[in-house]
Amino acid sequence: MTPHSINIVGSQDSIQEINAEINSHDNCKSRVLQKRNLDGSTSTWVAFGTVAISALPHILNFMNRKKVRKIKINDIEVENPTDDMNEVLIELIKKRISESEHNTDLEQNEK
Amino acid sequence: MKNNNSEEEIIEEIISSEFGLASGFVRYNPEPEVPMRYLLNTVKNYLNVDFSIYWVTGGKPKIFCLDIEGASEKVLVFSSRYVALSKYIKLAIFSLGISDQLVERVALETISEMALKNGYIDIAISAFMKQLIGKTLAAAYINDHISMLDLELSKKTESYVVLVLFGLAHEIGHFMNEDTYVSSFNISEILLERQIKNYTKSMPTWVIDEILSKFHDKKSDSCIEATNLIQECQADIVACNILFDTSIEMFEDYKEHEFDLDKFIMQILSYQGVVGFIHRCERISQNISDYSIIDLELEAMHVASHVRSINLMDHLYYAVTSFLYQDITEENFLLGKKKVDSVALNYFEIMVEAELGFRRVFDFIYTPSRIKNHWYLLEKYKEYLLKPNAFSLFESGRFISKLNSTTLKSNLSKEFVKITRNPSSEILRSLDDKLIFSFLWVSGPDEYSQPFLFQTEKGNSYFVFLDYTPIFEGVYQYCLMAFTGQYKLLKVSINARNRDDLYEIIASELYEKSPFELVFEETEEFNYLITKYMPEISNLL
Repeated sequence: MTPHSINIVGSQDSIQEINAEINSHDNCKSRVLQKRNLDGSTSTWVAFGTVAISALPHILNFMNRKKVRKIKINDIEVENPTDDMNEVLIELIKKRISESEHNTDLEQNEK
Repeated sequence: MKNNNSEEEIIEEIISSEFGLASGFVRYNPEPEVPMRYLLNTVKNYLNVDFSIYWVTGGKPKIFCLDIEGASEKVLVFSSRYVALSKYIKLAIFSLGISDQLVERVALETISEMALKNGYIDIAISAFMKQLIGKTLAAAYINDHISMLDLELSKKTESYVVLVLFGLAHEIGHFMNEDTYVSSFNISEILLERQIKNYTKSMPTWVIDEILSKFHDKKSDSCIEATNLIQECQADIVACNILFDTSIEMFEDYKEHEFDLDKFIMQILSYQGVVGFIHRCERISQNISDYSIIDLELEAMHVASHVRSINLMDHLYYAVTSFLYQDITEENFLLGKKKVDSVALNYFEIMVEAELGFRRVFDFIYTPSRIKNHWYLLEKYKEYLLKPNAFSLFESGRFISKLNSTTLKSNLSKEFVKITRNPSSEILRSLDDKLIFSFLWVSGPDEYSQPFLFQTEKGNSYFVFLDYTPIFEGVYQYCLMAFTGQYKLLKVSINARNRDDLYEIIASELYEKSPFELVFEETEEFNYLITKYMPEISNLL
């Protein structure tokens, strides 16, 4: 099963909760990191990990209720996601998953 | 990416994401005789934590630290470009004989570089052209010839120590935020609020209110939020102490340079100014789509930078006194303070001058007529290239290389490249791209809104300004004196394909359909009318 890399930037509280949510699923791992720039801006909090396809919709739905500045899943990146955008992102990821599964099925059939 | 989220993989992903895929990086393990090793040795006296240092080449200029939950080491990341840019800006502001024009150019050059890396190609080109037009050879020379290699080969002085090591030392300071040593610095919210109020006295009330609101709002992600600002001041002080110790030990070993206290003080303070400068440029280059709105965070950054300088200076009083004298008596403290003040006075004078140049960049970026009027700048750029100045062509060539290294393209970029290669060729402006003209405009009660009319010997005239030039500001300020009460004088920009189109637009705006003429800036008639009717500002022509 191919894990999906996930990288979420948000407020400290949101990131801690999202990190716990990711780690509560099978085959999902996440770690929190704090990033500080020299510019004197406030710290950036990041949850960084990998998620399994099966858990992705649950995690995205959970994130939808949190204060998130950026979501990056594989090569799809959304800055300042709104609730609507989160839904679009979920649909897009689901579509990618579906396409990926479909391609895998085709490859297996060809074999 | 593998499934185990090892620290190396996380760091690699973060660095790629922050600096871009074109950057390269190495985990840096400095040799025993290298200044960075002296820094790390000194840090051991302050903090019992292991660090890994990543040195990035290429990409955006940045320095940051990472604290990965559960990791055995803290991570410091710095880029060669940040250090080289810091040196360039420090030279421009503090060493070349300060002028606000030079600061304006350096800021535009920095914004151009950053805007390009952030994908704003037209702004990058515009800012590049703006800073280049009229540039002298000397100023152009410096940025092209500073590299990390230059720094490594240069004599190790106070300047080197601060430029290369302060950023890292500051980040290390953040890992000590909870330390009792740091809490002894006594930087309180009350103290900072007093300093902010003192510094912002001359600003408009609504700006002061916004800044103080950001300061007190614990949920704000502004750099001036109180807890954050306290931690930044503390990290600055830790960095100052670490570099003090590092410098003394390093220069003793090297024996090629004697520690110069005055220079150290000046370098420490000036680096504050440089960092503030770079990060305001960065902020501008990241928020270009909001150019029509004044970005109050830029003001907050400016104030925060000043407050940090003040607290660093206060700390230097003690640090310098304890360096010079064994006992910190009241008398000795006054002597130490006097020494710091003599250097700091020069620093603050320079920063005031530099701010004037930076404010002009604000005008360029946040005035729609300026930011949109790329084509006008391209015409000016073409005129400039047609004058004999081979060096500027060299600089343009380098800029084109940077443009080509991106996948970005626009109508402006195609014409910019064409004009650079052959300045005699004709500019082919896209029909979709309109010119922007600037006017003085009057608004008043009952939705009154009309261009500001000048009744001259030639009848009803409206001045049209082509750019946000000193003469536009001069005429605005001159006419502003006549406005009191309910009517306001505004600066307004109008899009038009050409001058005929503009005439039709203005005609449709007028309540009274009397004949009028548009008097365009840079024409003989314009100069004649300004000289005749506003002789006090004719020197601006």
